[in-house]
Amino acid sequence: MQSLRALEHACFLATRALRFAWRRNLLLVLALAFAIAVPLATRATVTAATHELDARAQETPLLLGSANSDFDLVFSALWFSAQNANPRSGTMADLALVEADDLAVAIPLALGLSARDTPVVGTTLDYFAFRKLGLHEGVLHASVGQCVLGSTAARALGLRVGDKIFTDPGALTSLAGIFPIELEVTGIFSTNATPDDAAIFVDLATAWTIRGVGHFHRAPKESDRATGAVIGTNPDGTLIAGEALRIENEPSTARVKDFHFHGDLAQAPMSAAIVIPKDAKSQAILLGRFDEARRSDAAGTRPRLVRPFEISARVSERIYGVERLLDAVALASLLATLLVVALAFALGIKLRADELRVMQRMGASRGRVALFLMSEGVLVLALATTIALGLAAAASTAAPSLVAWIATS
Amino acid sequence: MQLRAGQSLAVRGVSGSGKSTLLGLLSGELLPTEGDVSFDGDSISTRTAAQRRAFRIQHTGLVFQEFGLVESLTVLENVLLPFRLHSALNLDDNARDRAETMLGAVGLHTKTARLPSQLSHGERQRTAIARALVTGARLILADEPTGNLDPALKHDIAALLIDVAKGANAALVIATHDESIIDHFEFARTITNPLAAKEGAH
Repeated sequence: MQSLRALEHACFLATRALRFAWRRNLLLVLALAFAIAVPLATRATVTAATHELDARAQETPLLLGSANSDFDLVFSALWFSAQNANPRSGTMADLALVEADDLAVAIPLALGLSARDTPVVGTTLDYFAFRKLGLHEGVLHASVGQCVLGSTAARALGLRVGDKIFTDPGALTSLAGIFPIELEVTGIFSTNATPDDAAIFVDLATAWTIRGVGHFHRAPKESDRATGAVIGTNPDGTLIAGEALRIENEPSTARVKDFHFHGDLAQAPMSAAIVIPKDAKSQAILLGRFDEARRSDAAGTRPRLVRPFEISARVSERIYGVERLLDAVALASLLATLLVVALAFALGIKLRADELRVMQRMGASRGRVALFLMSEGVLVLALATTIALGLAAAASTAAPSLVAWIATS
Repeated sequence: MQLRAGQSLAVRGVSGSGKSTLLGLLSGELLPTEGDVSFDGDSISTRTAAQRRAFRIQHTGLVFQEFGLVESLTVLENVLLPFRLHSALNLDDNARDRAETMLGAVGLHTKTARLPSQLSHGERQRTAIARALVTGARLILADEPTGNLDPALKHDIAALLIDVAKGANAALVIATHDESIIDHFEFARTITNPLAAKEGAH
């Protein structure tokens, strides 16, 4: 009881002393807080970032594609980084490689597109079920030229259901060809705290249209022969359209019925595909098949099957390596700050030497005076640590940005 | 030499003559190499350091030349400081009432929330006097209490010390080299330290 009372009195005197020299003590607290916060914030951010990396990768059993590297494939397919994407990683026919023998289900992705710098992802409805994306408002897209937005994308772009947005034109160097079209927003997904929140989703046909694979034009008529819009007749009697037939890339409800593709859709491009094996055995069989195929593919042009988690684990390992280095630097800086703070504290005590001597002359034991000074130190440290924890927590919210930076670097 | 409750004694002497040492012996801070110091008939000199510390906080009140106030505490908090320094004293409502009473007695009842830096020198010394008496001390030891005050204030403070000590039925011993305030005290003694005198001869 007496010890508690002594502690209470020591804390009272310490609080008063700290408040009296509040400017100096505020500086000490802030210096200490920042020195403590740096390693904590680094650790918290890196942990949150690697956790986010791993979680997204773990949710995706396998990926099919042939980007420049497995890293590019994983980051383009999971975090939609446009610069890593290979728009023509393969064709829709490649899906058969994994769906054969009923070993897995494949969800194709058309990547590398954007609208106002927001990634546009072409995929099938299966993707939304796989990623557990639920609608917050509106409906899913039903036809070419329609899109559904992730919650963050909707907020950042300031779009609501019924609004429209143009896709970005491709770079002049883009050999694949980009044909901007206007997309109509039909729905907005609920937030699910993944990169899906920051994307615009369209169906594959829309993505192909932007790539110039699909298009719209009115049905050619016999009377078009004179203008060169019809140049012949197929054996089945259908007319063969000529160059003069006007091609439209801007979808509208009226034109939806005119939308069509020429050629074999199996050869339509695919950037990557999420592969969901039926079971562990199916996964092992598939990985075995693709390993064999990879060994015989010296040029490395055929689609590969990769396990995203293995890739993200390698990235996480590198991040932790950098973090260990940062930790060492931060700890050295913390030590230096502690020494400076201790020196400032000691000088502060020296300035109050007369007060402390009077306390002892009045009957305070050395232990009581020491307790009072220690309380001051503990309060400064506790305050600094609280601020540091707050800063670290705030910094850890930057983890998604760190992941995005990793994904696009 | 004996001093009874309510009596006041001024100890004078040149600097270095041992006035402060005498106060240290009376408070139990220092131990005599010869002779003895008794309080209520009990020897202080034979007590342990902890017992002497307890004696000091319970039975003595100290007043210093430099006031000895804690700059970060208000006037009231400074007066209550002894209660925060030793477990033998209990900081309760009685203590607070007594502190208010003592501050009233020294004329500072309207300045209880002020910091020492907001007080005049005279007010600071009044605060120190209130603090010396707040624990119910029966022996007030004042070391050059008027040393830092201007001439007009010296007599006020000396008279106040004697008044409040008498009012609290406490014995008062002050060390001073200021002859002008000696007349306020019932007794006066001069310390002549042969060593100090020798030093002074040079």
